[in-house]
Amino acid sequence: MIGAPLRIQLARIAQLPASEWERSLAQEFPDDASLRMQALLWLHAEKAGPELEGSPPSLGEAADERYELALLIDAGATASVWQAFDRRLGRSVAIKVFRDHSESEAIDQVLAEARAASDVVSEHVVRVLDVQYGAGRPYIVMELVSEYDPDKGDVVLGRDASSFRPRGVDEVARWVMHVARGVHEAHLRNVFHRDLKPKNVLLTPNSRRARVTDFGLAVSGTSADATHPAITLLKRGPAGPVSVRGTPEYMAPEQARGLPLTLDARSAADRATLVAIDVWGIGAIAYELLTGAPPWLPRRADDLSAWEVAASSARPEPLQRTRDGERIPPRLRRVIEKAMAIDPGARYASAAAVGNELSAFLARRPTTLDHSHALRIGLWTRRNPQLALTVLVALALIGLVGGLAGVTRARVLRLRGERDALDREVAAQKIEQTRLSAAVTRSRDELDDTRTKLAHERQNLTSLEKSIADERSSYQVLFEAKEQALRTANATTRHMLEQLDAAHRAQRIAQRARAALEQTVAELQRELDKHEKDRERVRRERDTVRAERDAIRKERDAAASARELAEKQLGAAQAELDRVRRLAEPGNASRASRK
Amino acid sequence: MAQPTEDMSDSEMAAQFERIIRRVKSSMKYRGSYSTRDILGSLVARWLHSGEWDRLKLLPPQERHIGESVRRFILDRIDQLRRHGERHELPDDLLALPDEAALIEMIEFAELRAWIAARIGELEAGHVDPRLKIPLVNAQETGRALRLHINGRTQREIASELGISLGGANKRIVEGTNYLVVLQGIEEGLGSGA
Repeated sequence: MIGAPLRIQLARIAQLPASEWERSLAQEFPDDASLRMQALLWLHAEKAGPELEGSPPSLGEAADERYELALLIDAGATASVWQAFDRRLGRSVAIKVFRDHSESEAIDQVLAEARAASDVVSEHVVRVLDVQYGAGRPYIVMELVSEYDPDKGDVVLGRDASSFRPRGVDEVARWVMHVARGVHEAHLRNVFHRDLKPKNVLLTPNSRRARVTDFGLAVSGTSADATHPAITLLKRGPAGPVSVRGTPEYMAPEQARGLPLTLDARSAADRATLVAIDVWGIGAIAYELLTGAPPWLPRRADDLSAWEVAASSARPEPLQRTRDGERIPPRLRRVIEKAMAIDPGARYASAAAVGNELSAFLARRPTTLDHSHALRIGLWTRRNPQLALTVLVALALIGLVGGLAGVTRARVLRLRGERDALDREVAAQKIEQTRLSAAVTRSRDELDDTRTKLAHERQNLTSLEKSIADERSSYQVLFEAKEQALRTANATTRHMLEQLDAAHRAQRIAQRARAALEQTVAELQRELDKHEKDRERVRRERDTVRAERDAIRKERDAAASARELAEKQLGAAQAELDRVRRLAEPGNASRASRK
Repeated sequence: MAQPTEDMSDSEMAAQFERIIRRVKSSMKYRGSYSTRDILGSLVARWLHSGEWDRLKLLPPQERHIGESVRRFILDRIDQLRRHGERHELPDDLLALPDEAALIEMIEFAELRAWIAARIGELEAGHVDPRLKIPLVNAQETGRALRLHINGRTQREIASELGISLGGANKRIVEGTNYLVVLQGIEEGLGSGA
């Protein structure tokens, strides 16, 4: 393969007239016949290359003088659409330029489309301004769908609905309503589109209004389907041969199975067939705009093309959610499902009916499919929120003033009684609170007394401990000197007995104090149980009392321990005293001295 | 299919060129709206992919009976289709096919479309036919541009999708189309070096 220089050589040769190419190639590549042939074919192919944006086709001398083709808007199998400027009228237009100009089929198609579209005058249908056939390439001049964009400071072209993303369900409903109205206008003029799909709906860029275009497959009163030469595909008994036209992904089932070639828009029966197909098409546009996918898609698993799926008795996937995951309102879903009923007879009888239903949906009015009373009332409320609120308030007032007047009086009396009872209860609570405060004060005083007594007891116990220690030392002395010890022991015993009496007295006092305290606590507990509602306020005080009671118990326990200890010591002293006494007896003393 | 000869006249060669270019270009056109011809074309393409055509090509022309084979295939297909819904008896005269010459032309177109789709797939994979002596710049990008082109995208959309200028997209489409035309010429014996 020769490198880039070859491309440069070819580009240079391409500048020469075609008649010079072969000679020039022979000079450039004398030794390579196959390269010469390839290069020649390449140059011819480039000359007849595809239509490119920036290289508009010629419409013929006269048309070229009038129309200046500027920008390729769209390109299809049979035609391309260009933005152009009409020099004569000084306005921008769109021109659909057909590729083949020699075939009568193409001429027929151009004329049929132009006639069909020009019959329709509607703000929702793109107008046809002119048509040209004969010398040069046939073309149709149409209104250019565009709007001035103040932000960009320029005129912006409309785009087809398949390349627009709707802002929500309501916007889809509005676009499809426009389409339905445009299609209905066409039907009123005996023009039936038969190829409705998002690609054939143009949207204005700012006001976002929908307009139907491309009547290339339309059938009308002046242009029957028979003018479109079609290969006969299937024969249908007495109805004869049928033809299939449309876009497979959007075809009505009966359209996919084939329509009689003899369809006549002037016949009532055929009109009904054609209306039903366009009503399906309106539904199919709504279906794709909502879900992002056309009703029919090839089924790879079954090896079926979109057309075959449409022609079978399949049903489109049920409408559930939009492409953005938004739930499709059941009211809108019912309208679209009716428009896309498999049985043509079950669809809306006209495109206007679809438009009216969508208008009702957008205005929150009930559609013909909304039978529920609750739904209708709900819609009315949403439509007239202020009025609904007023009615609601009025009803409430009437109810209050009329029906509830007596009840209100009784209720007032009852409330007054309740208020008085509450006042009484509050007063009783205050008295109870005062009484409780006094009881608490008393309990505190008693506790103070008990504390003082316990302090005394503590001192007594301390002195008792000292006495016992003294007794212990006395016992030692007594052991050494019997008489002295006996006297000392007697004295000590007497002292101990006195101490014991004092301890008994202290114990009795403590027991009385405890009994009194327990009684107080029991009283407090009973009172506290009676006054549950005041518990929160009283709880702190009760806790204080409990804490103090616990302290007293601790002190009592300590006193008990001291008493036990004293008793033990008393027992020991008693035993020692007994032993000393035995020793002090005369017989025992002499035995002891002999020993 | 005309084969080139040494003494092919200029007019004959020009006619062959014109035929190749026209067939390749028309096979690359996106068809949004279908007519009966397109539907029939799609069924013929299915018949082609079934392998029946490859089998028939091995037979002498007088024994091929292409029309009968296509008719039977389409009837079977429609019968199969209708099994999804209501059943109908399909009489033999249900199907009215075009004459043998038109049918062969449809078969050739279906073959050509399949051939073009395969070549575009090769380009997308970066493979350029080694028989071509004219260099192709950026085969993969050319393949992707052609794929989008035959799927009905406008040149602006292709430029936007590939992230290249409008001029760049145009250039890729022109080069790709030229490549396919020259390869088709080579298939027909033009410039193959044979």
